[in-house]
Amino acid sequence: MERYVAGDAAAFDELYRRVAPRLFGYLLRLTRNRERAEDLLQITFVKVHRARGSYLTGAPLLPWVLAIARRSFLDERRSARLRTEDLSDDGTLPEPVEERDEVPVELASALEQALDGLPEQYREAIQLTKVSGLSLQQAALVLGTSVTAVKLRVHRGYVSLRQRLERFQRAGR
Amino acid sequence: MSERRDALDGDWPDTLDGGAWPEPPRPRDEVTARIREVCTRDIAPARRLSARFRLVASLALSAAVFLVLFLLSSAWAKPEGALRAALFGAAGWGAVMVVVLLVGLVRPPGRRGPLSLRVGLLLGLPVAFLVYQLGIGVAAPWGEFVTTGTGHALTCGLGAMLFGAITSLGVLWLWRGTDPLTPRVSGALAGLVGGMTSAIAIGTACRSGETHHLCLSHGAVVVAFVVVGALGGKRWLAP
Repeated sequence: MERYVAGDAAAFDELYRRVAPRLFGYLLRLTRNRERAEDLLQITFVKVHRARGSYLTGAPLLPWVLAIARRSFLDERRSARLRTEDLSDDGTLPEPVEERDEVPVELASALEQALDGLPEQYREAIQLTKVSGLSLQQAALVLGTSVTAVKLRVHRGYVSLRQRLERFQRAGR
Repeated sequence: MSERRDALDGDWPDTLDGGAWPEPPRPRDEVTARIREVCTRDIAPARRLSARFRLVASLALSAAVFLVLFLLSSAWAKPEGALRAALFGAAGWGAVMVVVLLVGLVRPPGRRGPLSLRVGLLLGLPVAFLVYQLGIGVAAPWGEFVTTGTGHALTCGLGAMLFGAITSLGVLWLWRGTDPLTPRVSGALAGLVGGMTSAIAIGTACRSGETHHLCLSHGAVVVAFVVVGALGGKRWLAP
C-alpha cells in the first residue's frame, strides 16, 4: 500500500491480487448478486484510490478496505430502498433468486449453499472471520460492533451451518 | 446463557474448521481491467499528510484558538488569582487533549487499542470536566443565576460554540478520510478536543466564576461537540 501511495502502478497490481479475491468474495456474500458485487468492487477500489493519501502508515490493509466496501454496500442498499424497482433490459421485473433444490455433491458446494442461506449478520461474520481470515478484533471493527457480538454471530452461524449440512448429508444418502 | 458462554469460550466442536471453505471467487477480467485502468491511469505520488503532521497541526489549531481568546480577554479586568488558576487548568486539560489525540487519532485505524478505551474517554472526560467546573465554581442560588446571569451565560455559550466549531471542524478536516473503521468514535474524539479547547479558552476569558454558568456555558459545550464530532466523523473521517 505504501508503494501504491507513492505512485507505483506495479504495487497496485500486487495489492489487487492480494485483496480483490477476498474483497469480492465478501461483497458477493453480502449482495448474493454477481453484478452488484462487481459494481461495489469497482466503487470500493475507486474510493481506495482517492483516499490513498489519507491512508495512515501501519493500518492493517484488509480491514481498511473491507470497511470501505461495507460502507459502500450499506450506502447503496439505503439508496436502493428509496428507488423504485429496477427493470431488467427487456422492461420486465427481475426474477427473484430461487432457492436451489438440488442436493450438492461436494462439501464445498454444500457449504456455499448453506452459507448463502444464513441470515445476513451470521453470514457476514463467518465470511469475515473464516473465509477472509480476519481476526475477531478486525472483524468487529469492520462490522462496527464488539468482539463479543462477533463471537456470538459466528457461533450461531456455525450452529445453523451444521444443521444445514446435516440435512444435505441426509438428503444425499 | 450457556450458548453465550459456549460462544465466548470457543468451546464448541468445530468440524468445519480446516474444512472445505469455499475458495474466494474472482471478478471477471474486464472488471479487473477497468479497475486497474482507473486506479493506475496517470498515477502520481498521492499528496499525503503524516499522522505526526496532523497531530502537530491539530495542537497548533487548538493553541491558536486558545491564544486568540486569551488575548481578547486581556483587556478585561480579572482577579490575578482567577487568571492563574484558569491557566493552570488550561495546561492540565491541554495535556489531556494531547492524550486524546494520541489514543484516538494518531495511531493508525485497526491499531488504536480497544474500542472500550476510546468510548470510555468519550464518556468519562466530559463528566470529569463538568465535575472540574463544579469544583472550581462559586456556588450561587439557581434563582439568582436565572434572574441575573442568563444574558452573560448566553453570550459566553455562543462564544464557546463558535470557537468550539472552529476547532472541532478544523480537527475533523485535518483527519478527513483517515478512519473507515470507527469514524463516529474518532469524530467524537475530534469533537471532544474542539469542545475542550473552546471551554478552557473561554474559561480564561470569562469574568464569571459562578457554578451554574461554568457548567452550562463552558461544560455543556464539550458534550455538544462530542455529538457534533460523531456526526461529522461519519461524514468526513470515512473515505
